[in-house]
Amino acid sequence: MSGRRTLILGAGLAALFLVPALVSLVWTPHDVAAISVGDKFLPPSAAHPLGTDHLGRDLLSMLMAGGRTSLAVALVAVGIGVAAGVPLGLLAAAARGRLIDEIVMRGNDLVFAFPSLVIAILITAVWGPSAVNAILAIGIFNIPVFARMSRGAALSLWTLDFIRAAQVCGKGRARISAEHILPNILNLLIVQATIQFSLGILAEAALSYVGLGAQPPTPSWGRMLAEAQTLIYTQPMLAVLPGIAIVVTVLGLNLTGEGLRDLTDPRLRRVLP
Amino acid sequence: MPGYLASRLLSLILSLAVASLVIFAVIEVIPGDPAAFMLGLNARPDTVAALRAELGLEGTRPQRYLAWVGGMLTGDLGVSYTYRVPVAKLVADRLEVSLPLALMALALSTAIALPVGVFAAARRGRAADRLAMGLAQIGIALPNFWFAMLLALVFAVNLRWVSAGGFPGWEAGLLPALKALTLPAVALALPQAAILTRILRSSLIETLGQDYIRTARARGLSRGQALRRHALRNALIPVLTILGLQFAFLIAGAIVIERVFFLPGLGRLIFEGITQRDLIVVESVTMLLVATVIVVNFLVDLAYVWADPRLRRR
Amino acid sequence: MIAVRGLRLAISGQPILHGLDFGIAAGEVFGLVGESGSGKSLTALALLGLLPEGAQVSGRALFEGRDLLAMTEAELCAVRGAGIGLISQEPMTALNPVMTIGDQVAETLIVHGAARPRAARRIAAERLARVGLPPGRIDPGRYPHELSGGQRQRVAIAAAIAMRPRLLIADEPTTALDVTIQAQILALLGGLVREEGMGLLLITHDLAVVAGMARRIAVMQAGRIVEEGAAEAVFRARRHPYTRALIAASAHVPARRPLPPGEVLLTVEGAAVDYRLPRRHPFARAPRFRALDRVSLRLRAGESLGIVGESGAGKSTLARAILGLEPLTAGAIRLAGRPVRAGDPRMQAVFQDPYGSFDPRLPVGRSLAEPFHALGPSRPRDGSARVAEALAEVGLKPGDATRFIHEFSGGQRQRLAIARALIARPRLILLDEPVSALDVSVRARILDLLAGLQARHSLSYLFITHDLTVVRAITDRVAVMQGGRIVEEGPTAEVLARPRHDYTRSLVASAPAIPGDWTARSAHA
Repeated sequence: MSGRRTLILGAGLAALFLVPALVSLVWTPHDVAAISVGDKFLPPSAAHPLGTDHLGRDLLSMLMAGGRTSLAVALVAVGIGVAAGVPLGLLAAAARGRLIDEIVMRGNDLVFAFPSLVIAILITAVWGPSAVNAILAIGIFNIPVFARMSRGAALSLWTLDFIRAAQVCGKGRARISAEHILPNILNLLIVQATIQFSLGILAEAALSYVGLGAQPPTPSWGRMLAEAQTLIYTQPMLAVLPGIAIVVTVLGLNLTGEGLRDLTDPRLRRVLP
Repeated sequence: MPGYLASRLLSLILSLAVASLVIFAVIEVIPGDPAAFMLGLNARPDTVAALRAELGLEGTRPQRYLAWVGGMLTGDLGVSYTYRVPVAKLVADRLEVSLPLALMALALSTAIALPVGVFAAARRGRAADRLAMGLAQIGIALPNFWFAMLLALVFAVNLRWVSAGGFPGWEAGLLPALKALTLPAVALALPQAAILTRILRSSLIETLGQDYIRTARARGLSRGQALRRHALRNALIPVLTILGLQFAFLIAGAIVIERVFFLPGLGRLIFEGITQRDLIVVESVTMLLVATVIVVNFLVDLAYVWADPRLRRR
Repeated sequence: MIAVRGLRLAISGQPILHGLDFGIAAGEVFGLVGESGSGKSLTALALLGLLPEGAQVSGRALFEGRDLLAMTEAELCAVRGAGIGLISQEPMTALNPVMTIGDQVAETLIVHGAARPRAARRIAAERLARVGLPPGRIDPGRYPHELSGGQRQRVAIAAAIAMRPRLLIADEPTTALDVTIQAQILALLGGLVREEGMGLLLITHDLAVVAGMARRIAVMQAGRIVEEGAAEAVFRARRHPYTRALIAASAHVPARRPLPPGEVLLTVEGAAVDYRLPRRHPFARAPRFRALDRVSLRLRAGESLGIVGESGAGKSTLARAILGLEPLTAGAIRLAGRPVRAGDPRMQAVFQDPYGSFDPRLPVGRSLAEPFHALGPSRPRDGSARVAEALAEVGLKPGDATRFIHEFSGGQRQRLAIARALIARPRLILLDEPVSALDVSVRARILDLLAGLQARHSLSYLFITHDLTVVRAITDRVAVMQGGRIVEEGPTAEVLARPRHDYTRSLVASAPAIPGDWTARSAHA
């Protein structure tokens, strides 16, 4: 498939659940916090297009609002990764082979040794479970990803003659990193951000599922799955729908990233994982 | 080569030291007194004092850190406050579930990824490759715990081939125990296999584009011979790194999957530790998990030396 | 032995070769010469059936009576390596890095069923010895990364001739190698042809190489053979205008009058640079490597000084040190009396790689104006006018300033790099292999441009290169570097005609040359 077609398909799939999530910020068909046990397990109807759950909440509204949490957590976590990881990576590349480079890369290896779930467990053990702590746990794990990627891409740029030409013109390492390196790795950063964004959605779902993420009454796809687990034999749709939402969104984002990568400069493409 | 080994060993020790410091520090920043935290708000002052003594909270921070690390090195992980048994014993019991699960998943995902990745790379761009890559894309997008729920729904509830959860223990016999671990291992392995397949395929395709593959073909090797004799070993070098990293994901994944299938593994131990505020369990088990990942990555570094003669300096 | 008739090739519908006819006899060296993009490498791949996907071939290529182009894949596998051997350009990447050299040579024998593994290894050792790598000196159990570039090319040759093929195809076999190594590899190939009676198809861009090696040559241009015949006759007659232009360009010397020597502009005094090597173990002291060893030089205003040497001689380190990008371990480098520093507007540089010399995301006008950064507050107000002026000076249009670098050819890119070097009106331009990546015809025009600019602005040039023809064409004085030191220095004509140092002598002797009387003007019809 061509890069452009992959990109369009991916963006379309991702939009399928992310756009309703954005809409849910201002409007949902029903109040997601409204519990009415009398209306539990209603089949699909005009009032409840997807039916209701074990507490009588409208499933469509829950799905829309659940995406909101995934979106917010994953977005902020990517933001943390970019804001801390990219400068570290650029710094390490500019000081390649020196002590700073060594320290940054060793620090990265160390964070990689903590699976994000273990970080989350540690944080939760101390501060208790919450969406904010989920963001922190996922965001910290994003830092080395972006640091590694930008260091690798920057290192291959530093060997090019246009960087030497800029040095001959008296530009310093910091200035070259900002004026020449960063703009040239921007495409790659966007691709990586898309991939990390989708991984963030997966991680948030897992954390919420085990009870370390969003807490009631904040709706979240992962928690909907946790609540649906005991009901899976009688009400399988409650467990199937949020799962489909996750798969479609993550698949869409991954395809988007792949499409963007195929449209990127082939000379830099190989530094992406 | 001794230089490379020594520097890897040094970085192994350094990583373990820093990791233990980080975990210790995180537990230390708990607001207030750990003993009071563990016992809750209504605890009587003398119980708190007793626990403080038991936890060895009397010493200074460096003393306590050294005592903790020293204990870990000699196999003493402390005594669980809730269970009143040594943590080492708890861990050993739980490892009987978690370790076979992780190994089964690792073996399964490699067993799937290796042939599929090679096959897809060999028929790059054709229908079979596209199908395999499409399935891999979906596999990557699957949350393993949801996949696990679906597997349980189909194979345990509808088909009744296996039980939907729980673990009979190895005393019940090899077969029932393995049966109980099969679905969790599959759920854990498939998404990992999807990732591994894609990485192996792209690594192989890149290797197949190298000059030495063309020279090998010019010497009379067929496409298949060039792939088997030259491309595969070179392509596996970056895949090794991923295998090491995947181990970390397997451990994290196992924590979640154990919950889906109600397996009494390390993951469940951690969650019990959290809900019961048993800091000793949380601290020691996290350290153990992190140490495992660090050691596995060290082993991967050693495997590099085997795979890549460029690292063997004379 | 091989007869090619009407060989046509198209890739994805794009025609590349337009009907080639040539033949090679046993024991004959046939040279195929052309510039980049002429289709000479694809010709080799077409004969071996190793073309990229989407290629359509037609015509006939009869090898010992059988048409290679009509063979099945299995039949081709039997011919490749056994009947026809291939040596490719890049010795650094042509060998599998995780397989010993002995096994790679032996593999050829094993896949053709010519020997069982043990016997194959013994024969491989013999063939390695034949190409100058006797087991006593270079163990067949070594890996490619432990060998030098020249040694690796010898291994590649051993693997290609393991089955004693009747035809050897060598695609730019020495382009990536230093000139002294090139001479050795060419001598080895020549010896193999003589002793084993193989035919050799030698593909190269270098006229001097074929002049010294080939009995017959064919000149290729844009997918066609424009002239073919006995080597000497082709050089002497030069019937086709393209052949004429190619030969003229390869021997081109720009018209330049040496300027009266001005004051001393650049002085290098005892400059030394040490690099730290990786530690042997974490607590060892990092060993040091002296890349530049007490080098001293002087360059006067308006003068052009060449620095020649092979890879690893320290040329690039010297260049970086002069540009102020490499701290000195000892000694001093001064520009007009003051220590050099990066960002001195009186000094600019032009680099080798025309594809990497410009930021791909900026319009070239922005890149051209970059040296104004060095001027700080005295940055000119009429920046865009100065950019237009610089573009005009290098033969480009002012409108080119808004275009991006990928829209330009290799030669135009090098012109742009020169324009950037000129814009801050420097007194010294350091040129680091500025024409090495260019085809001969483009190279000749760039050398003309450089000569003209030097005369107009009384520029000083420091010309770093591995190529003696370039040195001869454009420098007044030359310094020869080896192992981080300058081993000989003097007026260019004198050093090249009567080299005093042994190393300079071998350098001059190794450089391939077209015999002088072949290209004499009188021979021109």
